[in-house]
Amino acid sequence: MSIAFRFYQPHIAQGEHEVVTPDLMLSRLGVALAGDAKPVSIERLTTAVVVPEPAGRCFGAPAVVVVGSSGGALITVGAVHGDLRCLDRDPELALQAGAKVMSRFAWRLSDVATNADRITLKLVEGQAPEGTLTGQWPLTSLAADHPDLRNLLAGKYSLGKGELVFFAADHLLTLEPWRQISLEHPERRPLVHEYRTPDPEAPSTVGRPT
Amino acid sequence: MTAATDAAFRLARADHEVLCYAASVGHSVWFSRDLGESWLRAPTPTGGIYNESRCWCLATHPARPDEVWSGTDQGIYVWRHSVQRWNYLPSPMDGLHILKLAISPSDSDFIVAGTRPAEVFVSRDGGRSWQCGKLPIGSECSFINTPRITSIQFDPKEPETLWVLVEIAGIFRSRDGGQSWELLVEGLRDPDVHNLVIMDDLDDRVILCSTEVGLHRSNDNGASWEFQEVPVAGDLLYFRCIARRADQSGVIFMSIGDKPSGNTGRLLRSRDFGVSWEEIELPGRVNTTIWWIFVNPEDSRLILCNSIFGEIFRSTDGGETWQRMQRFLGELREIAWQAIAINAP
Repeated sequence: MSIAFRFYQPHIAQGEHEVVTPDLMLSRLGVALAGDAKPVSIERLTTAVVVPEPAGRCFGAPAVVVVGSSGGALITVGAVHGDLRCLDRDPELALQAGAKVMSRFAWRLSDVATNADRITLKLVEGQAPEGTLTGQWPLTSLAADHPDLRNLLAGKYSLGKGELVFFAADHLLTLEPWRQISLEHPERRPLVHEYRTPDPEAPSTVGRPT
Repeated sequence: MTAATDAAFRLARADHEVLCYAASVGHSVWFSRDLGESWLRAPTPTGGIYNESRCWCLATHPARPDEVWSGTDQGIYVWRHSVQRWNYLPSPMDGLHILKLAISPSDSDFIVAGTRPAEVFVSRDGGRSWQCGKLPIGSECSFINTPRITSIQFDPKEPETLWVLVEIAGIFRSRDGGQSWELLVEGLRDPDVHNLVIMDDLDDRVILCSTEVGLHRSNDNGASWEFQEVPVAGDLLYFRCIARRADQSGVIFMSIGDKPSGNTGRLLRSRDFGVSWEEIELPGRVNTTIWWIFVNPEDSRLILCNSIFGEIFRSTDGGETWQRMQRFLGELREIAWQAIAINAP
């Protein structure tokens, strides 16, 4: 019973009016903070819009996500969460904890790779629905930090079926309860994922009489 | 489940009776003890399948007389007559659509499951553990977006050889119990494949394959395929299920329709190992494609088939004459029957 996977059902715009939604079985997850991607349990992957993470013990970083698919690799947005307490001492261990959040909207990498210089990763945090723009990164600058992403964009490297890699920006998320991460291209509908991190200190009545 | 009310048909094994099953998309699994005249579902508190679940497939085996297996949208469930309940069977397939289950005729612990997205899982220990077959197949395909398994068959002569059909990818064969695969699509007009019949009665093995665009035949064990004209099909191009009567005759049944969930369907019969075909006169108009034809070596006379929109047809004379059941059961994917001891629960 050693087989683990996550179902990923992306909505992929193709052409003017077509959207396809294949069901992809993802089984190998990699996360690149800096340098090579490190393997992380696929069980950490989520497309949830509410992601409980203990404030103060968790770090997070916005990310570009590339997904291997026989129909052509996909690119989308996400966030990498991990254990802040051991980030400096043991980054690989830190990555094993925490959610790896990704959007269910995606582009074909082949549709946008040649225009990578026009794509921007943006991060808005704060209180929904406005928030504050706290970071933005041209995809080319992310690719400069991540050689594997650069090679994926250049078609020199490809991911296998069931593989995906998070390429994180060098930026820690704030402790704000809401954030919106987007990938924007001037000629395409942006890819957006919003999610909340509920206050872990809020009183709970779970399991208690009310 | 109530006892049988009436059935002129009797199994050759006098101490056994027929229990029929129908796997539905939206109403779990139906049971019938009167050859399909009336249907009931298991009582709700039976521990497993929820009443509105999508159940895609069924599997029974003579060496597992107490069990009926079903692939669902929540995993594998096994009905045990002795305890009258569905039991959830933990497997790596939870969350997948388990579209096909097949139990080896020669080894009832050798079980193969096929899913959507298209993947094969193999158990050699009766479902206690599973290995992923890692089909060499794309994660996407045209038209239906996500490939899916449409048929799993054990080779009649080679116990370790599996034949798996994938919509839309083609015919895969493994000769090592699902560890490695070869794709057999030479000559197929369309890799949108649905079902197989393998026949070793003649001088050379003959395999028939039903596809989205008609019937194909292989005379070289799947190495190549030839399109076979079926004039009686007329303008119906969608060939779905194909099943051989469970005896030594060359009688084969095949279902065709206008499209998967179309407006009409027909049932065809061949008496010469699939060389020529005739239309079976079913009572009334079929409401869409007949999706599944079930034959059982326990008794070759009793044959059941169902349209995907819930019509059930029954033959008790080996497919010569057919009756339409009065009850419609909604969307049905598979139908089956099993011989069980008369005094079984």
